[in-house]
Amino acid sequence: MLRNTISRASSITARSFSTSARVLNASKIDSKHSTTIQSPEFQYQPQVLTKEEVLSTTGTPFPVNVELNYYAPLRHEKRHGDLVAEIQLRAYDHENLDFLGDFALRAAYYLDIPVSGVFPLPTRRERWTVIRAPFVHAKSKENFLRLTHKRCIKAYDATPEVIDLWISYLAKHSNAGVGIKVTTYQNEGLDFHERLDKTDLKSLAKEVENSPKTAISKRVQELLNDPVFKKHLGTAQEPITEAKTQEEEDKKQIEN
Amino acid sequence: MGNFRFPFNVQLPKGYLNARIIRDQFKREQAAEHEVTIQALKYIARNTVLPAKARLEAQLQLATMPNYTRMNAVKDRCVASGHSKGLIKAFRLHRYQFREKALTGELPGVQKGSW
Repeated sequence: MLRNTISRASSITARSFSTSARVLNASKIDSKHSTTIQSPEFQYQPQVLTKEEVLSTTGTPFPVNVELNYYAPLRHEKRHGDLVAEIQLRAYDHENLDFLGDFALRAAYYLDIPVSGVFPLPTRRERWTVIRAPFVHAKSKENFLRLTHKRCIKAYDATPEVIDLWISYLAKHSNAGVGIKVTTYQNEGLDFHERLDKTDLKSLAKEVENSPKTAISKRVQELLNDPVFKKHLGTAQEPITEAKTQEEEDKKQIEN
Repeated sequence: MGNFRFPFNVQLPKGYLNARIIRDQFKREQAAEHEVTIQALKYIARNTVLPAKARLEAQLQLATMPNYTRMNAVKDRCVASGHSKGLIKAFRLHRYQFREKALTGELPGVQKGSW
């Protein structure tokens, strides 16, 4: 609704209101705005950068969201100020980086995510000094360097689903040569530990089973059951040592 | 497998190849294959709860492992020339190969430095 009124207003006002006569003409066309435009205290003088009043190709007015690309990206204000995600962009050149940062802000605006601006992080400088010739003792050297530019965007107050949507959208339309690193944060209620106790740990056990540490502990058991080792473990002490090794392994697994 | 002198059944790595690279690849494969056993034996050998004889047995088995099964025999080599010295680790390249590639623009972001 809001977008409709704005687009109509922009199409009517024809980008530049230098004379009051044109303002009056515009007000005649749209009676809704007549009171606000004609009242002297407001000085209604909308101005836009684009020239096209009506697009020649489609015959429709220039859309507002396209018009907005000519301006700095809009941002929503923080509601609660809970940090939800941090996006870090990295690239060796800053052009692609700035473009993607701008794109991310615009996407966040349309997804209703309050974000900070794109702020720079310290540039990483890597330098290499290399002997110019293949020969070891050659004296002449050459310097090379690589700058890794970094930008960061902080997102606030959005649900994880929206943040996922935002990130996948950025990943889909990301620029070549720009790396995206995302850190997400989630707040839990005070009853989190109770819910944790109730959760099913079977899926976790599967992960442990596939870990390389478990492969080692299985091999240890195999070796200890091998007759070469078993004869040293002793018949009388066998159950005790077995139990002890089991304990050790449990400890080891807990530590890991 | 016992002790052996030459590499066998090696999956050849991509890129530049020479005898030393193949030998190194062989050592890497052997180390990967025996890693679990070596770690298990080390665990037994260092476990103070186990009887001394069992720990000694583990140490003996460790000492009689086949050749080229230890990670410390593995050495990084230049992927473009096979050099083992003067390596720039970030690119896995010998310094001269690094310079040539950097000058032809094959390494993203690397430029001639002046500061």
